[in-house]
Amino acid sequence: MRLPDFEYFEPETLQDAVSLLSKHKGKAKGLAGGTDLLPKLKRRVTVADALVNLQGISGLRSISEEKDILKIGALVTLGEMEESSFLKGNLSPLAQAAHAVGTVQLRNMATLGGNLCQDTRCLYYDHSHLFGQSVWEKCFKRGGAVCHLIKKGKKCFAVYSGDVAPVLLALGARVLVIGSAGERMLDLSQIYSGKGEQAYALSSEDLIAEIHVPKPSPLSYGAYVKYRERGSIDFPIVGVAAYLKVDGERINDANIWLTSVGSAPVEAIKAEAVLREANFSADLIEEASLQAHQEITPYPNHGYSAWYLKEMVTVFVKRACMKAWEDMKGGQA
Amino acid sequence: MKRLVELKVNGEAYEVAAAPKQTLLEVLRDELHLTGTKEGCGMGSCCACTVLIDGKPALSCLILAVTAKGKEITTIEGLSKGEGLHPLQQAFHEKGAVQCGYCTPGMIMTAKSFLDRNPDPTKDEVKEAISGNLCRCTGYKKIVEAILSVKQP
Ligand SMILES: Cc1cc2nc3c(=O)[nH]c(=O)nc-3n(C[C@H](O)[C@H](O)[C@H](O)COP(=O)(O)OP(=O)(O)OC[C@H]3O[C@@H](n4cnc5c(N)ncnc54)[C@H](O)[C@@H]3O)c2cc1C
Ligand code: SF4
Ligand code: FES
Ligand code: FES
Repeated sequence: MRLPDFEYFEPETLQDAVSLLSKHKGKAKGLAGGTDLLPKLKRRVTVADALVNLQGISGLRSISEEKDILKIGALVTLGEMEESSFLKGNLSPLAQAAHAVGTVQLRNMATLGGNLCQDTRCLYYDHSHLFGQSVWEKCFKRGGAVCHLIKKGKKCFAVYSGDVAPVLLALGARVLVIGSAGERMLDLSQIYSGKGEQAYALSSEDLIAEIHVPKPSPLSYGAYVKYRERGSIDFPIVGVAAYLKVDGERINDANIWLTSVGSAPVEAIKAEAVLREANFSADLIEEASLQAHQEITPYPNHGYSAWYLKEMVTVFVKRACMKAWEDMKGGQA
Repeated sequence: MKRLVELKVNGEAYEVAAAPKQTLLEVLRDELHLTGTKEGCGMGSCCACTVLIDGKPALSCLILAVTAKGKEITTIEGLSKGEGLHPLQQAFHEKGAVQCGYCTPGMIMTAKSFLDRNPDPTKDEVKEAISGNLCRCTGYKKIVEAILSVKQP
């Protein structure tokens, strides 16, 4: 498939990129690695009059440390994250999540900014325009008023399936956003609207410049586990990031985030509450995973039933917590 | 509107008029007539279109040609010098790792970059390295054998 026509710009600064985006009033898109945007433009499921190439903007391609904050530029590629000497020890789940994305070719191109801002996906919507439009009435995501995935659904159930966001969220990451009104710091969770049809709470001219990760305490251990069909290429069916802060057998804090279960990453708040201020045991992890099962109802947008996906939430929350715990044990040995 | 883009492909400099919507794959095949690189899905899912950008495997179907300026692009045509075959090409030929051949250029480019970084890999490492490159014919076994048989100089 070929790309449609579009105007093309190569700004050298973030400010210029923002003013180009703002000039086009929602009809221009930032282009980073292009691995999410270009297939969607080819399929005509995303429409853009203009592309603003962000790759020429300097200063967004490095990882650095400032006091207790790790700063990752939005244009750092997932391949670079996999190899970064900063993402070792208890930050290695970030490198593992980057490694879990797609294939080596995609990771060499894909950026962290693009990964966080990838569009939500749907079994129906992500077909070519020819297929979708000839067969179906416009759904919510195309500006219509029906959903083809969930019959009689009153909203869009497209899923956010980024692999890296849950780990960053479990670490309490913040993002530096540049817009026409200047810069602002947001919690990463604030950029997600939770709406399938318009997944971002950012305006069309906002750009993420940096991702700030508070360095976890030496007593924190994390893991990212991904359920996928094949060992490569595939998006997550369920992805779970867990960070546990421990003192001996005691869990002082727990942060658990899931991806691919809703239109935004989802926090397993009740599961976290079970683990907090409790002594570790296999039964405790079991109980937490059952809480996650109760509180999270995945959108059935992977070709699997909602029942099955809910079961997988239990399994993968348990695996993520066990992996974090075993990592702690391994670290002490 | 087309614009002039300087591309460095297999060590040679080219100046091509390309529209922003043209992918690197389209420019390589249709403008430079380097048809070794193949288009499979065009969507990032098969890796048939793999070329090396600054030594790393990347998908030419998802790169705008205008964004590839100034980078070292290597295609399957750039592997061997003159008439001879590159050791990987030779190994694919000898081990029967080519059937229809459609996936072969992408497979070899991926393997080349992998062996440059990891000259003495295990079987599992080879499998992981080519796990994105889909092949409809061979069942991968002979491809893995061919790659393992090549010891980089
Ligand atoms: C076959 C295939 C498999 C994939 N598998 C996975 C997977 O397993 N896991 C996964 O997470 N993803 C997967 N992806 C999706 C995609 O490759 C990744 O999400 C990638 O990280 C996107 O980054 P990019 O730089 O290529 O984004 P782009 O395509 O350049 O951009 C994506 C979106 O983000 C916006 N954007 C980019 N940078 C910024 C910024 N700095 N600030 C604000 N907005 C920005 C763009 O405007 C665009 O809307 C897959 C894609 C394909 C084609
Ligand atoms: S889930 Fe969203 S994108 Fe998919 S059919 Fe329903 S409204 Fe459309
Ligand atoms: S043609 Fe590029 S990945 Fe399939
Ligand atoms: S040899 Fe036919 S696709 Fe691989």
